Amino acid sequence: MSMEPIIERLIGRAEAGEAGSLTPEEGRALSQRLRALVDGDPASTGPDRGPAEEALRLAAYLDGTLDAAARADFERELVHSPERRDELIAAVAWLDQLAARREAPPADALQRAMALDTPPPQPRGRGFAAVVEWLLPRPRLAIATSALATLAIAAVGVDIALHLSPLATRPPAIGETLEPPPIRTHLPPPSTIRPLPQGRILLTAETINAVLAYQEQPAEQRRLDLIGALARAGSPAFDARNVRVITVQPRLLERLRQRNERLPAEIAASLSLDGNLRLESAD
Amino acid sequence: MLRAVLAGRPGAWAQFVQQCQSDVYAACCIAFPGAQAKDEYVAVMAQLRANDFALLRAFDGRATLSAYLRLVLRDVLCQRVARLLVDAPDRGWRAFEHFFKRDITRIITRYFPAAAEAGRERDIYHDVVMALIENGYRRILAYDGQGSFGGFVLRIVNNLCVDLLRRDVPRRRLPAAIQRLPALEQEVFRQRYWEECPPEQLVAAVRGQGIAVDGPEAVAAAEKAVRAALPANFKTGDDDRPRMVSMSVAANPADDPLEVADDRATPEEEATARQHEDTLAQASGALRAAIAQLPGDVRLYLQHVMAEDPAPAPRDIARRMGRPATDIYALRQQADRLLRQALREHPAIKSLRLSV
Repeated sequence: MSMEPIIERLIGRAEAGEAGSLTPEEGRALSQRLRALVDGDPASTGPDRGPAEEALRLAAYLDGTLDAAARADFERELVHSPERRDELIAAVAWLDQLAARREAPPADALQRAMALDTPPPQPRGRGFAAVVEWLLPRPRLAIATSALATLAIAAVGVDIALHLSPLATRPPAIGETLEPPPIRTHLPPPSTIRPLPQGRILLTAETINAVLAYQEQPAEQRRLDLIGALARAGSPAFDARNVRVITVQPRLLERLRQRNERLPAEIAASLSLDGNLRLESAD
Repeated sequence: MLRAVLAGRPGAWAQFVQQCQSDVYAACCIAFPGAQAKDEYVAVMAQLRANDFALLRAFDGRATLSAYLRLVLRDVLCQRVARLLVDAPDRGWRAFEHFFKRDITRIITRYFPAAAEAGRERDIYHDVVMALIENGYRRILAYDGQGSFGGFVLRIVNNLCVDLLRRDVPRRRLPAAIQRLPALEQEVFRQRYWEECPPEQLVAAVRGQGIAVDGPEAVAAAEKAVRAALPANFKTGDDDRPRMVSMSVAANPADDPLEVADDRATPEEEATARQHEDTLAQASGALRAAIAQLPGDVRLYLQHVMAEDPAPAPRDIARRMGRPATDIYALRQQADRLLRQALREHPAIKSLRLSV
């Protein structure tokens, strides 16, 4: 047997099943084998950069506007990830499909899309009349709404104050010594607060307690408490209505329960479409 | 224009809508069948404005705005299809199938290239779709927001095709002597005897299968144990499983009730087949080593060639690699030259006396 049909097939010079003396079946079997060879050992798909950045990289690659280094990086990722290559092929197919189908929207839909730009009325910029209108007494309903809003702001302020002083959130247990709270001279400037990586959550005592409480009894209130604790520890905002169940990585749960090895500093949370909020160690 | 939109200049949004109206509407028509496309069009436009134009603001001029916008639209529509699958499963599924049908079919033809000719393509598509639907779309709804939804769906379809392929071609069984050995030795056997992995790549190959290896010494010891466990002169195929044999009996049993045609291969045919298999196995090892040495762009070119059956045309590969077609012909020549050179010098090929 000659290597000729193999090389011809590999470099794309032979049609499937027509490589040299091979029958169609042999040609296909050879293709399957060669595919495994060129794919090699797949590595991980690389970091998730978010949809906008991924679209930008892909668009630049396909446009041929990436610089040499960025192109080489991107191609290295493609070589080692069949999944990325699949996404690339699907994206090209999508672009071709879109280019072949130019269709104008119905007039009413176009008008609705343009109307999205209609700005809300603003007192500023309407001159003297706006100032006068702003100063005039408002209807009672508006005043009542303003009062409610003020009360809500005050309530949020009290809530924040309570959270800043953890001792004030619960009464001391019997026998527990109540130490004076540390004197807070000033809040740290925002620049000193280290932003958490995307999706990372600090494993605070409150989070640990809420996780264990939920595991002990996965009741509605405990579920909400846990979501609240996660949010305060830096979790991305999850709509509690979309969270059906919370599952904890068994290894993480064991570490939280046993406390016989060092706990992770951060955990990660991901919400699936079917409402499973999964917590796992971010070690 | 985009700067004007982001700055909120009067009339800029209307101009933007006019400019990209057909792209956005066509995208909505591709994703959502029928009258739904009209409402989706407005919703997608609203999504482009969401969070102070977050999606448009991310554009930094690295690519053309139209290419970026079209890819962003795909992602936005994917997300909307996923959401619809949760909120209104029936409508969601129709949109899902409408949106992903081409991709699913493409992946099926990659794994089952002969299915179209044998008329099995629709059956396999049906099997894949049923697996996606079963248990209330369990597989699809497991998406947790990591990576793109489109990529997640492609991954599921790939995995389903691999499962179907395994069902069609049952997995090979390890010889009894190897089954008694630990996991490392079993993997070493698979890599050496089934995958024809060259010894120098064995450690990486075993690690690639998720088996922890202390070092080359551990793998060498495992290989020794495998050789000791196997009978002398063992060859792949000695562990053949039982085969189905058709029994063509004479039409009239009275003629010759016991005469059964023997359709097994003759000893000569078996010897030729074994020789052919050996040749291919050695060539595979040589090729694996040669491909690993190729520059990244050449290897990527080969991967694009092998991604479909029949191989995509050079102009399609050029499109996928964002290069002019002339570059693709140059890559092909480079691949040809480098592979022949590497194989010519490879000891396995020399000993086989294969012409390159």
